[in-house]
Amino acid sequence: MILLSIALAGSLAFALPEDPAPAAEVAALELLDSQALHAALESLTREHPTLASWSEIGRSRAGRPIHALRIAAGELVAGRPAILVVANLDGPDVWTSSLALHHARALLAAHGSDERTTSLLERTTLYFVARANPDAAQARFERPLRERLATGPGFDDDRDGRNGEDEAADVNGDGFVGTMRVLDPEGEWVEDPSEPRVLVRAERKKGERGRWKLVPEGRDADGDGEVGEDPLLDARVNRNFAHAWKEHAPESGRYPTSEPEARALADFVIAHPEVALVLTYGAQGNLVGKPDEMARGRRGEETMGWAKEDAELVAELGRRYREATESKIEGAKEEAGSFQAWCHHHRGLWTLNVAPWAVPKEAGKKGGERKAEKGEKAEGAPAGEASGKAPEAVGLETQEAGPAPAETAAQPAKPKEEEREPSADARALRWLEEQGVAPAFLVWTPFDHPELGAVEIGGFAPYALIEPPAARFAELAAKHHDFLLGLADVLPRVELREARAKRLADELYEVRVALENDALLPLRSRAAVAARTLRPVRVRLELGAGGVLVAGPRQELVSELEGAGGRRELRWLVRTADPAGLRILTDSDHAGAFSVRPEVER
Amino acid sequence: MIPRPMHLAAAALFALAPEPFAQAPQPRGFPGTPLDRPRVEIPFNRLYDDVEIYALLDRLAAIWPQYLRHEVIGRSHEGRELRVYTLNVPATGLDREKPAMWVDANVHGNEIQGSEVCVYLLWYLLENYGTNARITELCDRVAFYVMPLVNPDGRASWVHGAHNAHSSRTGTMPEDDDRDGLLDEDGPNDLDGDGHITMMRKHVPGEGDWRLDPDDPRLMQRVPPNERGIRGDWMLLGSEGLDSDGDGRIGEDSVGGYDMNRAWPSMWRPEHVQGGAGAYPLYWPETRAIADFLIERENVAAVQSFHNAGGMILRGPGAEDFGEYPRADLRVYDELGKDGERMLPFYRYMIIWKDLYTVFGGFVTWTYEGLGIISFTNELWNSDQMFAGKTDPAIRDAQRWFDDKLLSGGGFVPWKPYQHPLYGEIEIGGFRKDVGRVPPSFMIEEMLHRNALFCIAHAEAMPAVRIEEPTLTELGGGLRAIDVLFRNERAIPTRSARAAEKKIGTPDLITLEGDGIEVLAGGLRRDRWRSEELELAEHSPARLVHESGIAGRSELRLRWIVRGSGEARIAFKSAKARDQERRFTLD
Repeated sequence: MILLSIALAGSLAFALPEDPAPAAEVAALELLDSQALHAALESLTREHPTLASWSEIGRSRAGRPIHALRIAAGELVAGRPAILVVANLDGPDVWTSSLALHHARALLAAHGSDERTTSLLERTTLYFVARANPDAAQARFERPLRERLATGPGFDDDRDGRNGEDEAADVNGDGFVGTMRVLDPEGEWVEDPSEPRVLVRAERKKGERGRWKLVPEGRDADGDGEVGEDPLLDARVNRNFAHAWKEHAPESGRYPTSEPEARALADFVIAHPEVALVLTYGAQGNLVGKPDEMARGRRGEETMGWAKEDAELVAELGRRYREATESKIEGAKEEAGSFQAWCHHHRGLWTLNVAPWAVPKEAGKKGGERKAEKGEKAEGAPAGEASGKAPEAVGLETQEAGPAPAETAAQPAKPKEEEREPSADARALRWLEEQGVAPAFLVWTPFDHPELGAVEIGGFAPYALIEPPAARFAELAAKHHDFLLGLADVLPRVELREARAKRLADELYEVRVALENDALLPLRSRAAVAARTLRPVRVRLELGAGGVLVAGPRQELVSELEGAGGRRELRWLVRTADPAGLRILTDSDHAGAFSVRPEVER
Repeated sequence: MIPRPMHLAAAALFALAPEPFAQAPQPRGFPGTPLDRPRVEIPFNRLYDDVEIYALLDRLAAIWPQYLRHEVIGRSHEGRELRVYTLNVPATGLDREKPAMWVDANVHGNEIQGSEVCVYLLWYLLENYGTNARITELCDRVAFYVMPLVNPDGRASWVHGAHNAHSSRTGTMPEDDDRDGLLDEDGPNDLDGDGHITMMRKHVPGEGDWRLDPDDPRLMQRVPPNERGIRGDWMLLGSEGLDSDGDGRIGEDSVGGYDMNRAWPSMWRPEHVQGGAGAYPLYWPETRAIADFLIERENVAAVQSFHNAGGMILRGPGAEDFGEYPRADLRVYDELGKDGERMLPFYRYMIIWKDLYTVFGGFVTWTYEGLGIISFTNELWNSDQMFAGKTDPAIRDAQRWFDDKLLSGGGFVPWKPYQHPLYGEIEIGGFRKDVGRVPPSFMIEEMLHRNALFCIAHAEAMPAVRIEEPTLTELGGGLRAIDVLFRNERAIPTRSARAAEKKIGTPDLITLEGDGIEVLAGGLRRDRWRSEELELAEHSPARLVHESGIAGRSELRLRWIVRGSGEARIAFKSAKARDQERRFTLD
């Protein structure tokens, strides 16, 4: 068990939230390995046996258990809606598990005393998969330190008939897998004049010639002149889901849910039809920026966009999120093959994707701290993700290969010739150092590389751009918890109102009832309607002894009901001598189960 | 083939000289049959249940244990064994060292007769091995992986349960088809208890749209639209059933309700786009077991899947968006498919999305698009075969006429009265479940033989590479050029064009080694005549990787520039062809 909070992420800091949030305790950023994390969750279930329980939902490829924590209070009626919170689905986001742990602790501590907490737990079930990707997370606790995205089977990336022979590695033995820079006539990088430690792309159109070539730290084991180009592992859990899955891409895995972690999550969602909303912590975000609007593809073509009605409701939730957290982090777009995309497009669930942290983009920027940041999308993406190829090598503005959306997006307006705007990396580095994050950057150190000759090894330290400074965590956690508590009245809940049995003749009664949904969200998203998922609410009229149905449905399936006062009336004719024996019942997977005896009007 | 520990290199050497075929006794039976008295007598004029299929194959395995064995690759939803039978001649190498053909059947529970083709294929190969020259050569060179029952639950249900010709396509994992919260609660009901789900009709004098055929009162005719107010005396009420869940619909939530041939990863689409697809690709244990088996075996170089019915030799793509196949692969498909049309009269060679309908997530689309293997699906049995294609238009109902004249009326369940809880007095009757999609008994064996031989033709086309004698050219100054020609003698390439394009699996690898030899440069020859036209390897010239492989009936020319002397070894390694090696000496 490793409780890692000292070596890299700065000291274990206890900072008071600026704004006293309803969280019952002050949170500290705890980087827990999977065993320690589970021990922490398990101890919660021991302390709160009536509220919390855990289950193993599957095992990682390396055999590590994946757990779900369930928290719910009050009467466990069938069909009570549930929220699933998933953290650390993308490997390097290890710290987000700490957010999930904070939620669990805060909910359990405040139940019964805090009104919002109690109301959330009385109405809703919460599931937490605090560590969806334990194998990748393990890299956070091992030396040399590296960020790990891939955990599944390798691909012969360089097509030389061998797989995994050229993995990024710590060649200079400093304990980090960093980046190597090599003076090279074909190099495309130069030092940023405002911060010579970070490199920026040479502006060739202005006559600037590049000096440095950037490659991941590692050997050229196969002697092909490339470094780290064929890692042992390629498949990524969060590219291994079925929606818009990219066949043949090395990170996709052999088929959707070929990765055991992905399959465990998918099976969990399928086995829990009460889950109506999924909240994820990771690189993707849709609460600060809106989801793209759905594009109409050809028949069977899978697109990433959302239906307009669904996007509008998520925009409202986004407004509440920004109000609670003041976040400006848009996060990455919904990724093809991701859990989030599958949950929304194939399962019809509401997916709230939260990118909870990124180095503030406006920090150190000329023209003011609070400059508008419109259109800059990829901020929340973990460092290194900008490079398609070598996820383990970190931190530079972008790697040499592949398209670099983050880089182009993060570049501010064209610099004037005399004063070049400090690059995004330069500003991030300065900000991290101001915050006392150490080490934020590995100093470029000369190294005599066995294949490449003289190189320098350095770059952003692994995880420096991904994890919030420890001092910031308490505030972040409190604000995100505030948002979570606000979801209590959001999930659909179909209630029975105005149930009446009106006598028409001797023993003939007209029974009426209204189904109403007061929650923000409709009974089913447009995505669920399109995907034909989430079963309808089932409504039955119990006739009682001697009752005969004269007209009306034996069972009505109500599949659509708007939110915020959505209403639908049902009507039956019944012959009965005992109208007090009539009862209307509903039953559903995710919108509650209710029953009512109609008021008899004679 | 796939890298294997230790003994692989040695085994590959033996592969250079397959055991010659010699002094086999001449078969005494009619041409095309095994010996006049086969070692295993199997009635090929009938169809079997799942237990019997395995038992037949076990009989073969008992006679030829060295060649035929099976492994259980998983269990069906109901726990039945999912067996793959491997036919391999161990004396010529391990199965994984040889190109192999995958053959499967009965993914749709009611489409059963492909399993008998699997039995026939293995029986025919084993009976002829050692007596027929072509079959012996084939069995020595390649391996077969045969999975006769992809969906044994569905087959057992169809054979022993109450069904019609089309039901029990699914497996038996429960699904809530009508989304009312209950699973499989309103299937068809075998009201008359005869094991067949036939039709319900009701006599409603003057109020129906149907009347009885005046020539044959078993048959119903729709009353043509008319202005004279003429109505029929009968109404048709659909398949035998009750409304078990009281929702006003009959038989709307039967067992299962999914399609294991819509489950495969290449362009898989969810339920609302592709009915039957499941919650994610390979959702059912049967499908996942097969996928994992095939992904593990890169040596599979041919795929055949059997369905019914309609008389088709189908190839992908299943959906238009895949685009047409690369030309080189198309040539192979067309050659095999057009030969297939000749071998299988009444079968047409067709493209799934274009000539049949769009199928997302189909099996053979995955084995080609996802795994890069030349793959076919045959739809067995075409009703045109009843009259050898010469259907007389004077016969109004061909099936009924055929049943009458050639099946002695045995294919039809006579109408019987029945008291239905909702419809009152009705009649139940119609064609049996084994009429329409499976051939009648007397036509089964021909179907089995022709389709098994189509498999064999496909298997014979799997790649076989030969390394020709190298030629040496003195370049002066102690430098020499070694030219080597690699020839694929069969129709199927070592790497399909799709596999090369999508970088599927392991590329072909060609090496030159020798203790006294220094390999200075090497590469592919672009031009047969101009030796300097070389695609020089960027690095490690002694180890050349060739993504695009060797096309069918085609050759590859390489040249190495070397210095030194002594024994040299040229080796060719390919996932889908036997590894080859050639030794020679440089003086």
